[in-house]
Amino acid sequence: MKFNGKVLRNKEIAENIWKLDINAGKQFKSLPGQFINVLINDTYEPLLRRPFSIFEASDKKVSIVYKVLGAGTKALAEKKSGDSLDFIGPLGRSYLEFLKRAKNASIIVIGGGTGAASVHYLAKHLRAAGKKFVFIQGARSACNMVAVPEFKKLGCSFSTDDGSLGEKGFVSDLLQKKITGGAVIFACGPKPMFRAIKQACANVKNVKIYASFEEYMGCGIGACLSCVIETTDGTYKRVCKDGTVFDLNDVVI
Amino acid sequence: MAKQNISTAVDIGGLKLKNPVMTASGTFGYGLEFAEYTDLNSLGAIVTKGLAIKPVKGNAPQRLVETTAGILNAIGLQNIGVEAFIRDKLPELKKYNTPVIANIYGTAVDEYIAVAERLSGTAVAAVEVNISCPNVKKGGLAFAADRTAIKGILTGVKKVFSKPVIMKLSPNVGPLEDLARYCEDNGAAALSLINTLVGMAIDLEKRRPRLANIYGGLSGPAIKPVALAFVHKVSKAVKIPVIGIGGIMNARDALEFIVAGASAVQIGTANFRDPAAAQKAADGIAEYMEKNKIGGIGEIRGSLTC
Ligand SMILES: Cc1cc2nc3c(=O)[nH]c(=O)nc-3n(C[C@H](O)[C@H](O)[C@H](O)COP(=O)(O)OP(=O)(O)OC[C@H]3O[C@@H](n4cnc5c(N)ncnc54)[C@H](O)[C@@H]3O)c2cc1C
Ligand SMILES: Cc1cc2nc3c(=O)[nH]c(=O)nc-3n(C[C@H](O)[C@H](O)[C@H](O)COP(=O)(O)O)c2cc1C
Ligand code: FES
Repeated sequence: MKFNGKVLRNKEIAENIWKLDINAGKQFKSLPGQFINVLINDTYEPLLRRPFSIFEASDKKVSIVYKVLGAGTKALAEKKSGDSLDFIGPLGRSYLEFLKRAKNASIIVIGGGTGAASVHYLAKHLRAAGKKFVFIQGARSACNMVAVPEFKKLGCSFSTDDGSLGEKGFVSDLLQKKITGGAVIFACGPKPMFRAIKQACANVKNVKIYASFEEYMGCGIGACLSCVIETTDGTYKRVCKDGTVFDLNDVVI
Repeated sequence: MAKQNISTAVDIGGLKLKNPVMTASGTFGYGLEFAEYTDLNSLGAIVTKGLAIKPVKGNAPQRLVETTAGILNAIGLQNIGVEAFIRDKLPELKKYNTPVIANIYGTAVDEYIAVAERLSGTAVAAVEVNISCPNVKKGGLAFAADRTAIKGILTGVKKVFSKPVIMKLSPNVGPLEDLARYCEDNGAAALSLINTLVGMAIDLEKRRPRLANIYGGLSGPAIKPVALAFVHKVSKAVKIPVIGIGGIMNARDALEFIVAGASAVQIGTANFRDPAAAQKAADGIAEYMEKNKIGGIGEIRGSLTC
């Protein structure tokens, strides 16, 4: 669905990382793992919408947490409360489709970089549903960590490459200490993180890893075939429509 | 949209459309992806993603990148194949009161003909032959200026497919007037132009091309002036209708193409910004006509004074 929302609040919450709260103007129903595709402004710079995972949502409110990188996110950071904001969503499939298959397994949720936004929504959902889970966020350094207070509230452990927050090392090192056979892992982050997670679980029995991918998008609604990822059956699947969450065994990373 | 004293209807080589706004191939999926965001009944026609005789895997990612007021793409014609299209998509598309034009392509003359033959007798209202894709090694651009191939495709397709055959031309092979006349002489019902312009984008830090395919096709507002010039020149050179494509974002852009000589237009990249862009352009054309007391599209088509 397309929404003509309004900016409620747009604030820098860590170095170069912003949180944007939007009033969708009407009921916004979404699930963890889904994303919205935001029209940045009325000019043709940037031309395309920009996709962002849903950080949290309830009733008419939806929030994203984004890192300022290029022209699009720079312009987004200039939005003031009251500004209108056109966005499409919720898009993509949810982690919850895979959670259903995981019945009584122990759950591990991992976020890396801005991928943390997507798993935050999942952790919030799991907490509200009374489910137990291990929660890990990794970043290069403490200043790159996303929404630390919110993650702490959800019982998150942290790991940084330089040891400036939580354990020193990669998320996969921390994961290795917590993983048990039969666990189900939900993750969002850069591809090298997925590879490291896969490696960390290589010798643990019956682990399932479901990962949410970020690929360059043209349309966000399954039409342009830009955002594809190669699957193990040799075809390309659309991240925006067939994902963003895939079983890590089904895709080539 | 038929308001009181105006008619937005156009006739494209025998194909009657309620308004001149179509969606451009490859930017509107198989149409159904957009049903949630726009009224498919409001469109002049839906043009599908390029269909081949068998499913096509497409190029390795990264396949698309934004450039200044445009996008570069090298999708590589990934598609589900004509069989799956007829089985899975066409029955749904038929429910709408909008003609479906199948964009077709092959890596050899025979393949184009085979796709068209499979589509004959189906609900597809016309075929648009893509001889102009810059992103595949065989077919596509290789045929863009190859008269023997064009003649073979046109006569072969016309033999097996009785409805209008539209040729989609490339801006990458120089002036198009002669080639356009050649297509007209060989039975093309209409011409679509332009397809994307070959371009590239570079990541300076990595000193690597941004697209895995190195080169891609440029589309969007950045190419509109180029497209307008092609449409203006070609529409003066032929009698068959010209469908104007390239950087059309709204009704005003579409009307500029019509004034330049186009009988209809296609909207591509704009669908990515606003999935209702084509519907809005169609509505805007009707409003413009009403406001300016223009009874039919024919009154303004090619009305440019130079
Ligand atoms: C499903 C999905 C969810 C995402 N969620 C988040 C999130 O929660 N928080 C966050 O900070 N970032 C997220 N991203 C990444 C975010 O979309 C890009 O950082 C943003 O589009 C950059 O735009 P820009 O104009 O600032 O940068 P640019 O200068 O245009 O590019 C910077 C980087 O962003 C990538 N990018 C640019 N345009 C797009 C596009 N249209 N689609 C995908 N990637 C693009 C480029 O490949 C490049 O690596 C997500 C991406 C996807 C696909
Ligand atoms: C992502 C993408 C995919 C495309 N795929 C096709 C295709 O399969 N067949 C074709 O004839 N043209 C294809 N095109 C070209 C468009 O139909 C159109 O000619 C071009 O984009 C210029 O119009 P625009 O500036 O409005 O986008 C594609 C364009 C884009 C952006
Ligand atoms: S972004 Fe267009 S198909 Fe996924």
